Amino acid sequence: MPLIRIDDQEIEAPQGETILRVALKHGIAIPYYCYHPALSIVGQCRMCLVEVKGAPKPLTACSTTIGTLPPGKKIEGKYDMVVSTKSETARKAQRGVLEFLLLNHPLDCPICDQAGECQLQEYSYTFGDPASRLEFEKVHAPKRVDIGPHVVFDVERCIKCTRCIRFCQEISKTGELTLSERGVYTRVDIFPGRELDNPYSVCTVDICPVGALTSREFRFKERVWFLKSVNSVCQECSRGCSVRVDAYKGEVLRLVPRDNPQVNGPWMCDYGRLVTERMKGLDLAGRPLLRSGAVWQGYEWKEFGAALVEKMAGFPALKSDSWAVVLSGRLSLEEMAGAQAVSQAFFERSAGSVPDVAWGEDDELLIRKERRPNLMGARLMGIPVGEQNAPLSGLLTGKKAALILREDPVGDAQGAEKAAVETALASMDLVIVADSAFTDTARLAHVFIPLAGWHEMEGVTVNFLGVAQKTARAVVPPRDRRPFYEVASLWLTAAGHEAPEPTFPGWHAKVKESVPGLAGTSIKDLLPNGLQVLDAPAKDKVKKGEGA
Amino acid sequence: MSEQGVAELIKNPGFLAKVDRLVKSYPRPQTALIPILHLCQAELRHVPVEFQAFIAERLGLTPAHVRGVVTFYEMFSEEPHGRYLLQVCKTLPCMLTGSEALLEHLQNKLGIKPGGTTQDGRFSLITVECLACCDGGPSLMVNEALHKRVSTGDADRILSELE
Repeated sequence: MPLIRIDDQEIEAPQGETILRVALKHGIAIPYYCYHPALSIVGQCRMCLVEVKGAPKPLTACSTTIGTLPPGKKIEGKYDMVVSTKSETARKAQRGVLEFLLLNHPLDCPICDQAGECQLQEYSYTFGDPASRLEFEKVHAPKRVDIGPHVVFDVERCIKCTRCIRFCQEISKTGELTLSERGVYTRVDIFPGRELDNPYSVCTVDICPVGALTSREFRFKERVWFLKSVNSVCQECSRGCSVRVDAYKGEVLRLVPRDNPQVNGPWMCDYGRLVTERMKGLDLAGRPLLRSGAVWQGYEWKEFGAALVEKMAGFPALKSDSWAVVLSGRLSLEEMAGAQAVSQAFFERSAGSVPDVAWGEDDELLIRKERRPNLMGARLMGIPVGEQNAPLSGLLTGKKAALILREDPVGDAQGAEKAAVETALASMDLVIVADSAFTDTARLAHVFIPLAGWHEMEGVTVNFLGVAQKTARAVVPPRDRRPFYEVASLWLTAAGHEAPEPTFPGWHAKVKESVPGLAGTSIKDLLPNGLQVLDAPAKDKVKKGEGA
Repeated sequence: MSEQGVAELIKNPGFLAKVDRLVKSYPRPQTALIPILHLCQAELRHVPVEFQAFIAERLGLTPAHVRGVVTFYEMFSEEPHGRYLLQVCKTLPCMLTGSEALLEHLQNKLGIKPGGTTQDGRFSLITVECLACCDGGPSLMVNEALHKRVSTGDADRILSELE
C-alpha cells in the first residue's frame, strides 16, 4: 500500500484512493463544496486545492488519486506522495478560490435560511480574506425562482458546485437540472416549462452547501441555531429512514435525513419529509374521553385508569372472540407489547393482527409501498400481519367490541367498505380507539385514548430490512398525549394487574424478552444507526453513500 | 434557407433523414447532438426550446442537458438570428487592434446593441470569444465568412455587398 504524508501525518493509503477521502478518514480538514460521498467526482468548485510535492501547481484533493512511486523515486526515501493542506501555497490557493466564489455572492446572510449551516460562511471564516477587492458591480441574478413545488432557487447565492445537478442525474435519475449559459453568467437552470419535481427533490436542498436551494416548506421559518434537534426515524413507510427532527417551540419544522448506509444512505423522500405539513392538518387529540350517548366526558389521566376499568366492568360478557383487536404497524415494539399485555389481561385473548396498508409502488431508491413502519416488528413480536390492503371490515363485522390502535378504518376507507366499517362499529357494545388524532373512527368510539405522535415519544421500530431503530421525543406533546405503553401500565395497574413501569425503558425490557435479536442489547446499541435484528434479504440491501 | 417553423421542421422527412444519418455515424447517439443542433440552427436560425425537447427525446438525453449545450455555445441561439449574423471578436488581440471602434460603428450603423436584431430581420450583431485569427484583428465573421483587419470602411463595404 502506498505510504503518503499529509501535513505531518504518515498514512498508508489504498492505491487509487483520492487525497480528500483519505484526509477525511484520518480527521484532516480539507475544505470542499462539490465533493459528496454519494455523487460522482467532478472537481468543479476548486475549494479543495492542496499542495502536492513535485506537482507544478496546486491540485484538487477530491480528484487527485494516490499512486505508487518506483522504489528509487520515493520522496524523502519512503513516501509515494507528500501533501500539504496548510502550506503557504495551499492557503493562498484556498483563499483565492474563496475570493472567486464570493465575487458575485450577494452576502445576504441576514436574510438567508442557510445562515448557521452554510459552508460558504464557515470556510470564509476559516480560509477566506476579510475584505473583497472587487471594484465593479456584482453580477446580479434572480433571488426567487420557483424551480419546483418544494424547492426555491436563489440564483445569486449559487456557487455552481453542481451537486444538485448530479443528484438529479445520478440518484433520482430524473435529470431536471443543468448548467446553462457560460462564464460568469453560468447558472443552474431548469428546462423551460418543466419543474424540479421528483420524489426526492428536497434532497437537493440538503446537499446544497450554500443558501441557493431552500425548502419552500422550511424557508423563513426559523433560524437554524434555535432549532432543537433529535435523532429519530421516519414513520411514513417500511423503509424507516434515519432522520433528524428539527423542532422549535413545540412544532416540528423539518425532517432531514441522517446518513445511514444500512437503511437510507444520505437521502429521504419528499413524502416522508413533508409529514411536517400533514401534521398541521391533524385534529390532534387532547384528553382521554369516555362517551355516553352523544356526550363526551373528559378525564385526567390519574382518574382515567379507574374510569376505564369501571367502564369495562359494565360488559362482563365481552371476552376473547367477542373482541376485534386491530393493532397498527405504526405502533412501536413497546406499544405492541403493551397491547399484548392488555389483550391478555382484559380480553383473555392474544393481540389481534396488524393491517398491511400499501399504496403506490416500491421504487429503486427508498420508497416502499408498505406504508406502516413497523410491520417487521409486529412479526418479530408474534403478531400476525394481515394480507396487503385487506379490508378491515372483515375483522370488525360480527364482533361485539373493538380495540383499535393507531388506525383509522373509517377515515381511510371509501364507499362500501367505509359503510361496512361504520355499521360494524355502530352495532358494537364497546369500541375503544387510541390514536394521536381524533379521527373519524374515534367519533364512533365509546372510549378515546389520546396517544403521543411518533415525534413525541420514544419507541423502537423494525424496518423491512430487519434494522431496529429508535424514535425520540422531538417535542413535548402540547396536550397530554401519551405513548400506548404508558397507557397500558396505567390501565393494567388500575385493575390490579402487574405491569412494567410506565416508561420506555420499562416496556423495552419486556420487548427484549420476546424479540431474540434484541436479547442482550442495550438501548445504546440502537443508536445512532440502528441494529440489525433480523437477517435482511440480500437483494434488498442498499449501500448508498458512506458518511457525508 | 427556408422560412419554416420548428413544428414543420421536426416533421420534415428530409430533415429527419439527415438527423438519422448523423445519429448513425457515431457509436453513441448523443454524440450527434452538436451536429444536429448546427443543422437546426442553419434551418431556423435558432434552436427553439421545442426543438431541444424533441431532440433530447430522440437521443435519449434530458431536455435540461440539451439546453445546457445550446446556451453554452455562441453558435446556437434560442432567439432567431437575422439573415446575416455579424460576429465581432471581443478578446484581447482584436481589442488592441480596434475591435471596440468596429463594434461601435456597427452598432451605430445598424441601430442595435450586441445581442440585437434589426427590425427588418436582416442583421444580428453579437460579440464572441476568439475567432481564431489573432494575427488578423480586428476580425469580423459574417455568417460563415471570416474577414480580417476590418476597418470601419471595410465593414461598410462588406455590409453593402450583402443582398
